[in-house]
Amino acid sequence: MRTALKILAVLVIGAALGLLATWATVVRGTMGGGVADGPWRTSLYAGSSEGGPYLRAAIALHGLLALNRNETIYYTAATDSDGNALSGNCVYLIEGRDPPTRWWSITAYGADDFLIPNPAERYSVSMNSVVRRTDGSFTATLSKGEGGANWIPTGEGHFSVSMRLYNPDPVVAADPAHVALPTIKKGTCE
Amino acid sequence: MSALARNWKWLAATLAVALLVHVASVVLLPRLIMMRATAAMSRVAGVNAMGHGQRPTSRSRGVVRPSPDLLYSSCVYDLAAAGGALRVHAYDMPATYWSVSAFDMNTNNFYVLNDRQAKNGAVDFLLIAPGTFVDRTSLPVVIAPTRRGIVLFRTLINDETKFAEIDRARRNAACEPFSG
Repeated sequence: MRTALKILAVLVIGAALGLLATWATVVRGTMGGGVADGPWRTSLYAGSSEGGPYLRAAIALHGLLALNRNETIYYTAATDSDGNALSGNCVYLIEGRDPPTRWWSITAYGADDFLIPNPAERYSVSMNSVVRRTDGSFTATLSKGEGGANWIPTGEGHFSVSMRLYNPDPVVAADPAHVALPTIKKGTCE
Repeated sequence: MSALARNWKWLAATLAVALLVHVASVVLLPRLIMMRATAAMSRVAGVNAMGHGQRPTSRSRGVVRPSPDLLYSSCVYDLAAAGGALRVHAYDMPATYWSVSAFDMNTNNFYVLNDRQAKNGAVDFLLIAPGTFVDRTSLPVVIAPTRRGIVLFRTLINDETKFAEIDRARRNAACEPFSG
């Protein structure tokens, strides 16, 4: 009887530890093979068979059906340019210029990795929709409340933003850590 | 003798179970998520047929991190049920960015072609299972690493005023079993 209880404990505790390790490395962990460019992170192995099992599992969880790097490069930011986690309690300004690519978009996602509900049904700004200044630069606003022409609503709680670069110029895949991507600056907080 | 020394075999067994569960969950997770995704997508149009999804909104829960600027059309393929070969084709697609990509059950993107690479704005190819021989076809052949998976068309809404036109044209994308 005592031995049976010990075997049961081994199985239960072992399984719990194994799943905890998976949660820490895949669910909460950063993507393997990743590079950072300011607050933005990407992995050149997304959608690729070159990615190892950890990257494959992370992509399946957070970016299923991602295209390979020749077609699209996906940058994701969960922090502002100072490294602080993005929060729905704050206003953020995304400032920059068009990155070197055929088409781009910036989209906000909730902690559940889905689009954030909002009455205006606005979820992104893109190369086609963004309002630029005369010098070509733009500022988009991430905020819970109304944020002007380039507003991306964020709702409550933590969120992240993805920047998609479709058919990126070769320089992006060659050196994804040094692409001139927009900065994310924190404004006022509640 | 310390408790640790007395129970080292049980501790080693616990760590072995933890390692086994960890490796198994990491390796199996992509396939399980793909199974969930294919089940959800096949509810739209079945298997070996193209389903044309609505524009993603916050109510879309099929696949994580969808782009609200794209229209997705998906074909869950089962090459065994298709007799070994599936024809994927799209003619008269809209004049915007579009791509067709194919994913195996391990989430690998093993094929992609976009509007600029497509000849005359069209695509037409056969997706076949490994070891399948297809006779009498002039169509390009793509070998799928796994018998099940997803073919996905992405079509960019590059002009909101042309949404209806783009949505109508992207529905020209289709897939069906190929019998030669």
